[in-house]
Amino acid sequence: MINLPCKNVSILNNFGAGDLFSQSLGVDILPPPEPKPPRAEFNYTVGFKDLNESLNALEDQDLDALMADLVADISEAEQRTIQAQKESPQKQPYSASPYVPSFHGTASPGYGTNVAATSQFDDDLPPPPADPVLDLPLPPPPPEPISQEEEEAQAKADKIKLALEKLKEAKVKKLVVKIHMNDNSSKSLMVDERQLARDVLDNLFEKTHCDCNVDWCLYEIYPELQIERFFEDHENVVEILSDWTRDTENKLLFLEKEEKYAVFKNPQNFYLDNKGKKENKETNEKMNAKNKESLLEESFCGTSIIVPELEGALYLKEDGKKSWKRRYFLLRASGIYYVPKGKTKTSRDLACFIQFENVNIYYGIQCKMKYKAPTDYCFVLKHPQIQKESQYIKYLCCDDARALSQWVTGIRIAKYGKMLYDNYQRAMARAGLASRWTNLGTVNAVPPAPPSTGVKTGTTQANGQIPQATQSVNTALGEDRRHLETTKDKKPGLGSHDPGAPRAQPPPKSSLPPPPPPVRRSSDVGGGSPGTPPKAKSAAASFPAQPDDLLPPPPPPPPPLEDDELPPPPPDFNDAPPDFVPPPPPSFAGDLGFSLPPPPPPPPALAPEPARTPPVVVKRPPPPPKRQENPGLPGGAGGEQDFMSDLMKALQKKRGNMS
Amino acid sequence: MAGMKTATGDYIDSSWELRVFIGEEDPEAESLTLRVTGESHIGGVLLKIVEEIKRKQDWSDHAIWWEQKRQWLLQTHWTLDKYGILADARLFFGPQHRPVILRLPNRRALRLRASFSQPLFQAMVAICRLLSIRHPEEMSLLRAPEKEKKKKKEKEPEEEVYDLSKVVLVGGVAPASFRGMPAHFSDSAQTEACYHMLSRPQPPPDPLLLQRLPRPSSLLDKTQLHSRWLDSSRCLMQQGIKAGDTLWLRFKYYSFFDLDPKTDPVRLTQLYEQARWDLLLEEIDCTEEEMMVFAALQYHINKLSQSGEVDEPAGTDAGLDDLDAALSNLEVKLEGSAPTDVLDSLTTIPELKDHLRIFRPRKLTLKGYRQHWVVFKETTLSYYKSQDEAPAEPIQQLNLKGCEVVPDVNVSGQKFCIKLLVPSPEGMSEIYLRCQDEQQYARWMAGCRLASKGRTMADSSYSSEVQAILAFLSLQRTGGGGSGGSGNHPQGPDASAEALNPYGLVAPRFQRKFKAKQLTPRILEAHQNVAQLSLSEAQLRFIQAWQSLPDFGISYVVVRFKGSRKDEILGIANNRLIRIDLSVGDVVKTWRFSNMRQWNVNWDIRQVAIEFDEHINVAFSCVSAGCRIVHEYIGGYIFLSTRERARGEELDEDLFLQLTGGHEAF
Repeated sequence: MINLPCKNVSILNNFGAGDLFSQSLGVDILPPPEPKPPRAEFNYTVGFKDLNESLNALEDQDLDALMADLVADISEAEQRTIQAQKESPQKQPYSASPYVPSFHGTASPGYGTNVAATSQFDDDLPPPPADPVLDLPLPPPPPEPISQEEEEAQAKADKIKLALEKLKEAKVKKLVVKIHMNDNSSKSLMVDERQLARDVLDNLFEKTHCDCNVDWCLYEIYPELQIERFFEDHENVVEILSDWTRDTENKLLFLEKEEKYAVFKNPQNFYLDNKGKKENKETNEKMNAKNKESLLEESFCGTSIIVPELEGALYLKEDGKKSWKRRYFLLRASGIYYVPKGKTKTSRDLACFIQFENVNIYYGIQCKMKYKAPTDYCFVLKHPQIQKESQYIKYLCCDDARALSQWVTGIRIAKYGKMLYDNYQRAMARAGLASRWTNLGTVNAVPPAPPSTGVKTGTTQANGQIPQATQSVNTALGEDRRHLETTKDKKPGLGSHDPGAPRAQPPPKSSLPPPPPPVRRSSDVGGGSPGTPPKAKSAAASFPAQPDDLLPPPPPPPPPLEDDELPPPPPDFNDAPPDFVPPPPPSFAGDLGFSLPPPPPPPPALAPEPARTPPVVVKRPPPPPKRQENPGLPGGAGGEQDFMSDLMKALQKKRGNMS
Repeated sequence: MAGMKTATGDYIDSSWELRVFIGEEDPEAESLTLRVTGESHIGGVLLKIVEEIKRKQDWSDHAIWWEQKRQWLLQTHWTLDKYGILADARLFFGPQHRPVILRLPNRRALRLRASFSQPLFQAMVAICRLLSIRHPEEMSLLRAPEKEKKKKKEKEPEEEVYDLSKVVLVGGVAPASFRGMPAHFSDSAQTEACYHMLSRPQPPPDPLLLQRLPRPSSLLDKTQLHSRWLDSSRCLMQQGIKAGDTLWLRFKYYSFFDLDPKTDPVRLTQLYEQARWDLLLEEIDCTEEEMMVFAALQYHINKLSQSGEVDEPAGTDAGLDDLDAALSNLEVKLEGSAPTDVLDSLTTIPELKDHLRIFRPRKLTLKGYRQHWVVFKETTLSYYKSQDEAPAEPIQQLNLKGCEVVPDVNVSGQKFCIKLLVPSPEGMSEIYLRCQDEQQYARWMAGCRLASKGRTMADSSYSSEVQAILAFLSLQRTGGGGSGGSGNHPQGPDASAEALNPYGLVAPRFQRKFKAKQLTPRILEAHQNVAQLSLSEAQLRFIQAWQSLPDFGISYVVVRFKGSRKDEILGIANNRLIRIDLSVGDVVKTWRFSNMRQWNVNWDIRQVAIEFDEHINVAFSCVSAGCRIVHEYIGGYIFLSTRERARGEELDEDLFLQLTGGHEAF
């Protein structure tokens, strides 16, 4: 494994970034391909130089994969800088005019050619969330600028915001990780510090074309200690890996482990097991799905989760010795306890053996040989940072495999609680999605609703914005999209694509760099598809912000406009979803998934427009999801007032205060 | 029509005289005699009575109680014949709602008027509505134990009884909220105080009292409580309750639906109180470690509620928040001030530098504490031989992230040590930092704690953490640490609110096991994990920890299984029945309700028979409690499991009565 230091990415020019992006989108750019190859190279070298030394050790195919990541990563950063550049010209757009009748000049003058325009829009779509304002193409004729001061203030705030964003970005730690596959091959992957195991898994799904079932996990192996475990999906990968020492032999594997979610598949084995009595086993196997579900509901969905009742004699390896002592242990939500000599197993007599806050649970491998354990069914508890033999590592040994699996699972439930169940549900959703993908390509994989981490990031980074609004809309959008997708999924096969073709990756995927991991939140599993999700996502992020900053909310654009005013529809957008023949009404959802976020009411007028092809436009205004932030959007001026009312109120209040 | 007479004074119709006593059952109650026939309707009789009494009064709540049959005559259109009433019936014309004193889960007494004529289930719905507790189906009433009554008369005659008996609720309408409390509480200062009593946690009990209160010493003792539950399908009057009696109000079914701190302040608080008393009185056992967490939560909850930091449920409305956000937003835009602040805080990293004495325990070393120059920056602690050498390589550098921080403090001995167990690839390294005084200790300790969680001193919680530590130190000085070392019962409850007696927070067996000064640091240690919680979060956490105990939610009754010669314990939980060995306490067998086909009660031989899937049949007779109680528990849990979120608070009363009612109910 190679540690990659924090790295800030160099600034590239507009065009380069644009190209790059369209490239990563996997779109066939028909017209002027000329700038493309050079750009790609250029980026390549940039990335390569940065990494050169540390990457020497990697093999070729690793490098390729890695480069894909890196390039994507860089392009993301570029967008940020591009926006910075755009900042000044776009300052004026703050106009008070409620209704801008045309999108005239939306494509700013600088982008004259087809290609350029395309890239421009590409840039617009996946902007970093922090400064969504910037990327919204604004109506250039600024009829009545709000006020000079305000404008200046805004500019200043934006700059500060940008600076902060950069500071933050510079601090993001990234690791290049070598992950071993079960066929003895390996892949190198860039993991940034915000990514959870789930994100990395999604990334790997994409790269390996595996079946995405819930058993796949990231698995860490400590050859020296002979212990191993799978990561829980909510664990932060970089955090775990930073505990490894520099010269470590530890390895990270990508494999299937049935144990990972065994408790959710057969909860009765863990919750209803009566010390393995025969009659019980028989009934257990018969448990039907409905009962399982209610058992899970009962155990994981109450006010507090229920930890399986588990107790029994285990062997404990004595600190620093090779002898094993048999003791009676009990699992409780608060930790593992044992019955001291001569005492009973009532709660008041129990002695605490260990609590779970600071330890992880591992499987012990071949402890019989190494430590003279009575059996090979060992589990190990240790602080994640301990990497060498130490008396602080606790070894326990069970009589049989069944007991081992019950203890390990029980401890995980006690330690992680409901999180495990949430992870499982996300994994299920992901697996379900994967199986439905085939006729749509991978493009639609929309991450499940972003977890709370997203909210956190959202709030911290937005500076001039109202963060909550942004976040919630974004979330809502995500849900929308998902919803749409499901509905779409239910529809009979779209287009001619053969649903049977399993995991056939859309052409771009293999050849083009996978998309950057979404910048804004680690939880956002951009992984679904290489090109599009990030785009959609970032666009989504940018829209909601608009109400705050863009004073005159442009009303929904008259459809014809785009054709006249906007640069010719970029071919790549049409083609982006190759499986998609002219989207018939129902497929509208698909469009969303692919190129643009479902038109959240107010913003549709903006950025998306240029890229749209006419058919899409027709469908554009679907019933807007209810959203509080901008209740009045669709209506021209009236809508705008609503939409800004809080700001106006604030202004009034402020004035009132001052006077 | 009744009362037609011949000239001689003989009645010629079939009328007869009916005597009715006015008022509650009372031998000396005044009585009226009415002339009625078998065809008289109850309504007519009531009218006559009121006419006879000739007193202006609201009689609407009055009804006739038939003493021999122990029955209310509530069907006004029924005739006396239909009820089977003859001239010898002893009838009482009295109010249906009468005052009772409820002992709440928080052990406070509250007088209110409860319905004596409706089935208890309905009466509970009304009581809970008055107290603004949602989900009344989870609660019920118990008879007060005989013993406690006596005790109360002897020792606490002056105990404050809150009074809600004057409050009348408009039927059918959900109580509106006014000034952060249900409107009917905001009428007078008295009722307002009552609401605060209901919705805010009570201070910890006096440890002496705690020791005196009866505690179950065995499983058998724990079955006592459950023999006292009242019957939900019959009214209070039928169960021999008299006006002014004391009843216990408790959560009966341990299945708390949709617990929401925002809408349920009273319910949450009372549940917390019940859990707390369960633990303090050892109704439920827990381990030492768990008790410390419970104690820390109680301390924290008490501190918050004393300081008045109650999160008002209907506090600031969202609109205002938005406005504030918009405002601050604007400020950012206009002045750009906020970002610069952020920049500042991003660029300046707070750090601690000082001379501290450090001790690293090693094998075969006799070295004690040595003075070092210690620098604590972000989450990393570095120490140097002296300040001059600081720019050079430190002697050692420790990243405290993930480390264990243990206070080692003796306030009276002026010893302020921090023990750190720092994980490293090689294992844990142990290091002690010795501070000079409380201030220094609090600063460094707070830094260490934050660092162990991966946060730096720039974190907003740093200063509050420092304050919490100082507060705890002062607690130790006043509490058990100083003079309390020898005596096991340190200063009484009159010490300041901050100075808390740790004995009030733990079950009495820990009072015997530990000295107060041993207890305090352990509670402090546990407190650091909960110090950031808000009041309702802390209460919820307490309830969750209580629910996580293995023995949680099991109601015990003594039964004898069919074919068995000895008594055993039946544990009833929300999802299962447990057969428990009476003497050892071991679980013999568990049956889950989800596998249950049906259950039957033979009232004559007091036997409950249950059939489970796969022809497993279980039958037992009830020994400690009536089989009605067992029956109602089982039926009640099954009823509770049918609740669905979609239906909200709507209650299917018929279903409940069907599932829990006895044969008389139909």
